Amino acid sequence: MADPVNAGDDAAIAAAAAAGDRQALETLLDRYADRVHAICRRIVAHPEDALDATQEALIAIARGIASFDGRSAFTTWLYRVATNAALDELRRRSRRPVPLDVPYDMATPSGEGAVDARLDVDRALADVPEEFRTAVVLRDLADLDYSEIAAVLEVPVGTVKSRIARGREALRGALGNQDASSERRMRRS
Amino acid sequence: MNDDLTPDDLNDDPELAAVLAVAPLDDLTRRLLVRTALARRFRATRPVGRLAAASGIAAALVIGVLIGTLVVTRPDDPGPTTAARAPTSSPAPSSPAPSAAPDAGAPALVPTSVTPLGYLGVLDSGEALRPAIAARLEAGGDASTTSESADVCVARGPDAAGLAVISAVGTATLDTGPAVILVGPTPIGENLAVVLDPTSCAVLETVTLQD
Repeated sequence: MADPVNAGDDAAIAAAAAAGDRQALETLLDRYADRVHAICRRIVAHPEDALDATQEALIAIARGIASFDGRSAFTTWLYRVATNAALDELRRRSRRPVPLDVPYDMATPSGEGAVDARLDVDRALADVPEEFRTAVVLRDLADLDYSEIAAVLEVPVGTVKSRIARGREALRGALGNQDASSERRMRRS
Repeated sequence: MNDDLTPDDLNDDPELAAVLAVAPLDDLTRRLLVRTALARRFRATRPVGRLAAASGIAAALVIGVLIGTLVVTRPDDPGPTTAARAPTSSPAPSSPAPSAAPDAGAPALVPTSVTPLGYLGVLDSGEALRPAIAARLEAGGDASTTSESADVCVARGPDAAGLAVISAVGTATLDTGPAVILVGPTPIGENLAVVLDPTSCAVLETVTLQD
């Protein structure tokens, strides 16, 4: 019998992990940790909180893999878990008494460099309503198609299309506003 | 609402995709995230085998004998209750179990099962930890120096460092500055030395130790 872990097929590895194969589970988690982190990073829009969300997502995947029945694609199930972990982290953060704009102020002095660019994207994403942001992240970052996003978010495909269009518009607007304000800062200095 | 959408609204947007792209996790962070997830999964459901149960009973018996010996041999002992609360004469205060969370407001406590390694010295790199730890373990540890930050990191539990159990703790000065060193097996049985920031207990580096 072929070793499912070496065969490298997600469905087979997921089935092995669901049956209690620890090595298969480790392979899956290691393989998808970056993608889970990317989803969390952009939905949460904060580096440290995104790591917390990623950890919670990986724990949820490790604990929930036994209930994965293979009726949907493994990646659809995984993105749903990651998205829910990120949204849970946003709820937790909203209950914490931390001003959201504290990290963003750190970007002001130089206005250039990798850290500033990262914070600018975070700030722009924070301006996009959560439901639109999530749809855009799943489409433009995770590259899911509309029906997969609809399955992850448990909403109709038409709603997904609408959210993506509005989210992109809002994100472009937020990024454009930042360009305009940084130009103003440069002219003043 | 969908009737307002034009085909352009639904085309892929490579520029936006590039803006949203996220750099991959570094190896250490990814490994720690995965190990912690595995540890949580298997700690929750691991069946207790006969061998493990027998080992637990044997360990309980040994502890019982040790406590009994202390009660009998300590000349200034005020009574068995106090002796049971302080089962060792180690300079570090003890806690009831490695997994027990410290009480709010109470000082962090080092479990008695953790071997104190003391200060391992100034080391050029994480790799230099291997011989330093091996030598200290061979000498039976070193309880002559204690570190409050090491106690705090131990009290956070093995999970926080990606370990299944903390078997030894020490401190050192590495090229990155002072560090707390936790030693123990990972959930998958790999023996590791985990280098932690003494202030935040964040993991800085891991070094695989020989079995």
